[in-house]
Formats: sequence, C-alpha cells, structure tokens
Amino acid sequence: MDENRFDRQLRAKSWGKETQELVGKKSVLVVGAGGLGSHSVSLLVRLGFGRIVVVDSDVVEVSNLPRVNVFDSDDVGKSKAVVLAQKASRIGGPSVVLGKDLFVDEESIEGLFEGIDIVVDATDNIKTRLLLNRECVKRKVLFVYAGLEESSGMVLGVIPGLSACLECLRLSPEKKDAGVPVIGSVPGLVAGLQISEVVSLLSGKKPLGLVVMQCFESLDIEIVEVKRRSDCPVCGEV
Amino acid sequence: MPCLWGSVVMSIEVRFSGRYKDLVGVESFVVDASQICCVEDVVVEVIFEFSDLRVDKSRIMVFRDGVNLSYDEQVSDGDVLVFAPPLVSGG
Repeated sequence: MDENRFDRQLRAKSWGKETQELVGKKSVLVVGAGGLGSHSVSLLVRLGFGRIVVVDSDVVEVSNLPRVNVFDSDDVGKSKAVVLAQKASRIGGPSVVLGKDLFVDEESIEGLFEGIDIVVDATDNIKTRLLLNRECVKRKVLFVYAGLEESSGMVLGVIPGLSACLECLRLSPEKKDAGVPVIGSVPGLVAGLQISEVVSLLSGKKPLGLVVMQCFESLDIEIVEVKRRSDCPVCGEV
Repeated sequence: MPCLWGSVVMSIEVRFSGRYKDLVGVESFVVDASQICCVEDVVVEVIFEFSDLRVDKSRIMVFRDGVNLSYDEQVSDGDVLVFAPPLVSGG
C-alpha cells in the first residue's frame, strides 16, 4: 500500500488501514459515464479501489461538459467510457480502470458481472436502472442507485435479500429520462453520497435508506425509511 | 378492491421530501376530506392544493411506514404518507 498517497485518509478514524485494504481488494462496476459516473469513477480511483469497470455507449457531447468530471472540449465525439477510464487512470495509484464502450441490455449485461463486488448505477434511464437492480438481486451483488434532477439528488443502497431494492420504489418510467435538467455542481455532491454508501455497504453496514438531497433553493438532506415490499417482483421472493 | 367513498372525513398527513418541500413551500400538509379512499385520492387532493406538483402526477413516490404504495392502495384515517420525487437522470 502506498501510505504516502493515502496518508490523509489512513489517519482518519472512520477510514484507517483496514478500510484502505478493504477497498483495494474490491471491484466496482460503474454503469454510466455522465455527470454521476464521471465523478464516481474519479472518487473510486482517488480512494484506492482495486478495479473499476466503467460502461457507457455514448460519446462526449458539449452539453455534457458542465456536469462531468475529467472530460474537456477535446474529448467531444469520443467514447465516454474509454476517455473516462484513460483519464481516471492518470490519477495514478493502485486502481485498474477499464472502459467499455457498450450499451447495457439483457444480453450484454451477462458479461459484466465477473468478479464484481458492487454495482454503481449512474445511468440516465429507468429501464437500465431496473435491469441492473434485477441482475444484482439475482446474483446477490451489492447495488447503489443514484438519480438527479435539477438541484436534487437521491441515493439508495441495496443489499439483495436484506433491504429494499430499486423495484420496491416503483420508479415510473413515464417521464422522459435523458435530457432531464440538472445543475452542473449537483452530480459531484450526489456522487460523493453514492460512493460513501458504496464504502459503507462494502464495510458490512446496513443501507442508510433513501437519501434525498436538495440544494440551491434550500439545503436539505434527509433519509426516508424504505422497507422491502412483500409483493416486489424482483426481491419479494429472495 | 374498489374505492368506496364514505361520509366519514379522513385526516391524512402528507410529508414532503427533497425538492417537493421547495415546490410546495411547506414540510407537511394535512388532507381532510370525505372523498378519500386510496393513495390516488390523496395525490389528487394534494395536487389540487399545490399545483406545482402536477408535473409529477402519477410519478410521485408515496411511502407509508417505509413501504412504497401503489396508487390503488387503500388509506386509513390517521395515516402519515411521505411524498418523494422520483429522480432518474445520471447527469
């Protein structure tokens, strides 16, 4: 372990050598390389996670730049996942970062879970979020959802079979997902909460519940208690 | 089970979370009405009072004691419901 690199967090009482060694052994699948995913991958590398696989089928657009981390104007037109992996790798440290230019669907998801300890949901649509949730519950892989809109954010950690899953929330796919208004500084705040929950679940703690954050008009973070639904079609039988 | 509106006035407390607090300007609201049977009736009453929530009609996540409710779920006098916004963008 590079103790000099991680000196500040090694000396933090709530982190220490034990957590540093733990995250160094973990593999994370990050689906989505937009505002949330770019910040999340950057944080995972800086924290010293062992292996990070980031997946996205989109290319960088100018309209992404206000919200994303590490991308710049020269990246426009390039694969988000590939560029993010390359740039996050330049942060250095022990992390291995792999970028996959891939659309996640029922078929392609099969090959993504090998060796993965936890999935970070940073996608931009309900369909993919629910697919990831279902696969995680089926495979008993930890899952952390985060979503954004305007100046709001939301995070839910899922321990399959023990806590409420994303399907338990009955998220409605009726509203158009992509192109939802988001203020540029919000993804970084929510990604911070999401990665905190990642570390917490990997450390064996229970999920916080549904973390709901609001900023700008007011500043408010609250935790809404969420229980499993006995009739949940995904986790009800697990 | 079909909704059967009664003559008894029910009192349901609705607590708003996240950006709904800003949209409606209050943390909670009590719906007192006789024509309430299910979650959808409560949502309609709340949207009538706070029209800014109309944009999310049929998408609002409604919880009772931590359990997400479908809109046809029956409610009871004294229930406390939490309304939370569904957030789906990845930024």
